[in-house]
Amino acid sequence: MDINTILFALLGVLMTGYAVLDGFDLGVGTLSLFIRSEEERRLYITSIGPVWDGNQVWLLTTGNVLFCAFPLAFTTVFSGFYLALILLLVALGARAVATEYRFEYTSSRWVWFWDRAFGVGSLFSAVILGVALGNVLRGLPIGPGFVWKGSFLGLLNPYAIWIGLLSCALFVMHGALYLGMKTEGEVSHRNSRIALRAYVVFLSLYCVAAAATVHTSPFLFRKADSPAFWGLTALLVTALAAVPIMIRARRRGAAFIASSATIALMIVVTAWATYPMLVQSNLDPELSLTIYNAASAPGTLAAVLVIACIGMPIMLGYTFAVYWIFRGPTR
Amino acid sequence: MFWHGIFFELPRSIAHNVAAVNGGDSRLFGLLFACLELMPFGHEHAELVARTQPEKFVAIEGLYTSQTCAPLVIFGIPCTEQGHPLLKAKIEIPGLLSYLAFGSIDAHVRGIREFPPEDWPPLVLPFVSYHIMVALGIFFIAIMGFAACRLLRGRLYDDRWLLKALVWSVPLPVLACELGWITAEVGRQPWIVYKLLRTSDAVSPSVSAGEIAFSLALFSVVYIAIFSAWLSLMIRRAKEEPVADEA
Repeated sequence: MDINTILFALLGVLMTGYAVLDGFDLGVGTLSLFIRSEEERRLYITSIGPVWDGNQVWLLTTGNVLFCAFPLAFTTVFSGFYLALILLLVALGARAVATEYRFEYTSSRWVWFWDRAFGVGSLFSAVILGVALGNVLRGLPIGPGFVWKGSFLGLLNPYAIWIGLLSCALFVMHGALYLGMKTEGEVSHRNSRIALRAYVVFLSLYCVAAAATVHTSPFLFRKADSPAFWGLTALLVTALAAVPIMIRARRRGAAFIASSATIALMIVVTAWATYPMLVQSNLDPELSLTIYNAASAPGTLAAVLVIACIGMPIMLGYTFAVYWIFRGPTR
Repeated sequence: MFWHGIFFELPRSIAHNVAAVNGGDSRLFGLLFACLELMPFGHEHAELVARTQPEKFVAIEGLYTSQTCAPLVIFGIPCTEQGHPLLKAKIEIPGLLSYLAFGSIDAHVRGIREFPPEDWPPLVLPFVSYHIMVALGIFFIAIMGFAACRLLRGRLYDDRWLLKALVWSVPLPVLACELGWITAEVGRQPWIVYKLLRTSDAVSPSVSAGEIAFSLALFSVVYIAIFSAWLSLMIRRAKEEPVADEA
């Protein structure tokens, strides 16, 4: 296994960590939009209060590893997604500021405004991340010299928007399962029911998306004849099936783990299917970005690996520490 | 490390001892010593820039002609008419720049004219922002030192104007920080990576000027909104009755 592959795997791990961790707090934020009671919205924000910013670090590190290890992919994709990423930043920023400012003053209009900012910011983030992923899955308009040839409106194609809705439903389910686990009494029961409904929505969206992906992105199925592809897919189906079973059995921790495994396996299957491709060009497959033609110089790759070996244990350490310290239900 | 010890740890221990004598007012001494740190750190940084990015250094210091015994410009109005940069109405201390940058008043300092014009940073903005930043730093030291003297004599709370000046100085460190960024970022032009990559070559070909303008406008609006919210919170806080410290 060469260093490019190791760093590709690292990217996959970071993306998985981000989607599993920030996924539930974006879901909690989206759910808070539908809550009338100010007291309950406070509970929602408090439940993710100590962990959400740590979760977001995984997004930053994903971007950093992409920038350092595969700079051509970073520049091409981030330039192409420029406006979308700016909107994502504003949405993520809105919820970040809201979680702090909300508690600084007790006027009901002030609290109402920041609660909205938190909810809408979460909803937009969940959708934009999905739309971005949808576009990557579909292949991007990369022209000669790895220059982006698309437009902002081109990003808003039906397939990508469908994936945006899919990620939103998935995160809502994931967030509801988190709340089911982290709260008590009525709120916990209600969120378990919401998770079940979100699961149904997610599963229907997912079936259509899977069929659409076969049609739009045949390149993702090049390895469809290998046993590993079907092994991973079987694991994914198992995790998917476990979610409603665990909810019905009222095993809330297990349900949350099943939904985390679902998210992780979706990313692993996709990453495995694209490898060694990073981004497919839909103008000419020859212009696609791979982990070799988009990579930095060997010295830089080695440096990234060394930094990751130092940084990852720290990141994992404080992630576990903060979840351990704040274990138990939020009140 | 030596400077750090002298200017950081030592004042801290002094501040702690003063705190033991003076109780709650020690914070003022903490702030004073925090300001005094500006001198050695700022100086060290400028020395570094003089060695590693000479064009930036002479642009911010306003030295246009190479010379030994180069003067430190305290005040000046930079003009760049027809590519001939010159400083008007300047006040300078002879030899001090040579001494500060290279440790001897006889040191030769290369002026901006010695560098090819295509490698010049803009001359006006970095010069102005740098000088205002340094002036603010000196102002911080002066006002904190003065306030500390008044405190030692037990007269600090009698000077209404001094207290008011201290209150109105609260946003100035932020301003100084921004001016420092302007100095560093405008002063490093035309390079985004010094001597390796020009800013003009680093521009993304597929991001249009309109998109950049939109994002800049959007961020301005967002930041102004957050700043207004913060300001309203601070004003509300300031109007509340002060509560005595528990300690």
